[in-house]
Amino acid sequence: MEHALEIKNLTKTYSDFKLDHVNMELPTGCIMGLIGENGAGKSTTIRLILDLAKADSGEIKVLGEHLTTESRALKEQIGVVMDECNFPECLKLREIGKMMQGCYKTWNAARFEELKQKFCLPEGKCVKDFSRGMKMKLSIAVALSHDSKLLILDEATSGLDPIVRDEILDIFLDFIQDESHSIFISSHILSDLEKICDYITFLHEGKVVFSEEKTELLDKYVIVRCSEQELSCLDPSAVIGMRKSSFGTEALVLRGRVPEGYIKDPATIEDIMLYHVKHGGKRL
Amino acid sequence: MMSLVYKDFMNLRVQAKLYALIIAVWTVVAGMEKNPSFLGGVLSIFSILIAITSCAYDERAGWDKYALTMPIGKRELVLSKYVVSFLILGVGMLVFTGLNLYLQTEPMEFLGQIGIFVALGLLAADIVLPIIFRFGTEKGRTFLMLIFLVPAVLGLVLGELELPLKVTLTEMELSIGMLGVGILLLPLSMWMSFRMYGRRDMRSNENRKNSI
Repeated sequence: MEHALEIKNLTKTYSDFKLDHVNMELPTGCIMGLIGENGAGKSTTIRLILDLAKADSGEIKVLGEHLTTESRALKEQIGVVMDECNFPECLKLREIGKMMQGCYKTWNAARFEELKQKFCLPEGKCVKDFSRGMKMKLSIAVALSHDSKLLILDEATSGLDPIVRDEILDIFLDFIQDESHSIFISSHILSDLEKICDYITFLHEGKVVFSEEKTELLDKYVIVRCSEQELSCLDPSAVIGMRKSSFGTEALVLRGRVPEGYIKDPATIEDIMLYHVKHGGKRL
Repeated sequence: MMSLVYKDFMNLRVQAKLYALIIAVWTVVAGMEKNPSFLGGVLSIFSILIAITSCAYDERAGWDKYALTMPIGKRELVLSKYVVSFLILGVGMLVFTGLNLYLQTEPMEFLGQIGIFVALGLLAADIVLPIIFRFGTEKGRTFLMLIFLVPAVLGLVLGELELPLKVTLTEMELSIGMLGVGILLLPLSMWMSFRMYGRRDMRSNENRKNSI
C-alpha cells in the first residue's frame, strides 16, 4: 500500500464553516502534521476521516479502503487519540483493559500492561482522578495496544508539559520504526511537529494552503531581515508575507529568489504558517 | 456489545451504591406498609433513569465519538443502552418478586402488578431512548417526566370531569395490554434509535468543547 491516508477534494459545509476541496496524501511509513489556527478545520477533517461526520463530497481512503463506522476490520488497524481522554470517568485501568479486550479482536493485553508500566499509570485510580498527562498517556496506550497501523491524533499533546510531550513524541517515533506504521497528527504545538513530522499540511479557513514534505518546505523559504527599501527590491511574487518592527523589516521569502547580500535566517514551520496567514497580503 | 454493557455497569458503580440505598429504604417502607406496588413503580422508573445516567456519563466523556473509532458499530452502541435498561429492570423485578414472596401476595395480584411494572419500564425505554439518541440526555429527562406526568394529570382531569367512561380493566388485563404495547413498540423504538443515532453528526460533542 502506497498511502496510509488519501484525501481528495474533501468538502463539508456547515452553517458557519466550510471545509473546501481539501487534498492530502500521507505515504505509508511517514508522519504527517496537520496545522492551522483554531477553526481552520483540523478537527473537522479528522472527524470526516473517521466517518464521525458525513462529507458533502470528496473521497477519503484510509489504509487503502473507505472507512465507515461499520468497517470493523479496518478500525482494528487504526489507533485514535482525541484531544481529551474519552473514557467514562469512573473506570479504572483494569476495567478499561477488560472492556477493550471485548472491543478489539487484536487487543494485546500484555502490550497494554507493558505500556501501563512504562507510562506509570496508576492502577487503582479512576480516570477522573488522572492528570491530563496521564489521561493522554492512557489514550495513547490504548491506541498502541491493538493492531494499529495508522495513528490518528487530534491535539494529543496540547495542554501537556514539555517533559511529558517529549516522552510522547518519543513513543510516536518508536511506533514509526515499523515501516508499515504511519501517523496523522494535528497540533497547535508546531515545534513538536517540526521534531517528528515528515510532511506538513497547513489548513487555513477550511482550505489547504500547502501540503508538503517538511524538509522541502523548510528549504523552500527563508526569513529575510532588511530595510523596507531593500525588501522593495525583491520580486513581490517571491515575498509570502512581511512584518515591520522598530528594528527593520522581516519577510518570509522563497529561498531561491533572494539575491546574495541579504541576511537570511532559516524559517521554522511556525514562521511559514504565521507569514502565510497573519503577515500575508502585505507584499510590497 | 457485552463489553459496552460491562463498561456501563462499571462506570455506574459509584451511583449504584446510592440507588441500592434508595431501593433498600423503599423496600423496608413497602414491607412495613405491606404494599409493594409503589416499590414496583420506583423500580421500573429506575431502570430507565439509570440508562439515562449512563448515557449522560458517555456524553460528558465524549465516549460515543471515541467508541465509533473502535470496531464498534452504531447499532451496538444503541442496543447496549436497551440491554442496560432491561437488565436493571430485571434486577428490580427480582427485588419486587422477593418482597411479594415475603409479604405472601396473592399470585394473580402479584402477576398483574409485575406485568404492569415490567411494561412501564419497557414503555419508558421504548419512548425515552430514541429521544435521548436524538436530543441528548437533558431533553430525555424532560420527556421522561412528561411520560409519567401526562397520564397522571389526564387521569386526574378525567376523574374530575366525571365523564361517563365505563371502562373497567382488571390488573391482569391492564398488564397484558401494556406488555403487548411495550413489546410491539420495542422494534419500532430500536429502529427509531438506530435512525436517530445514525443521523447524529459527532460535531455536537465538539460544540461542547467549543471548537471546530
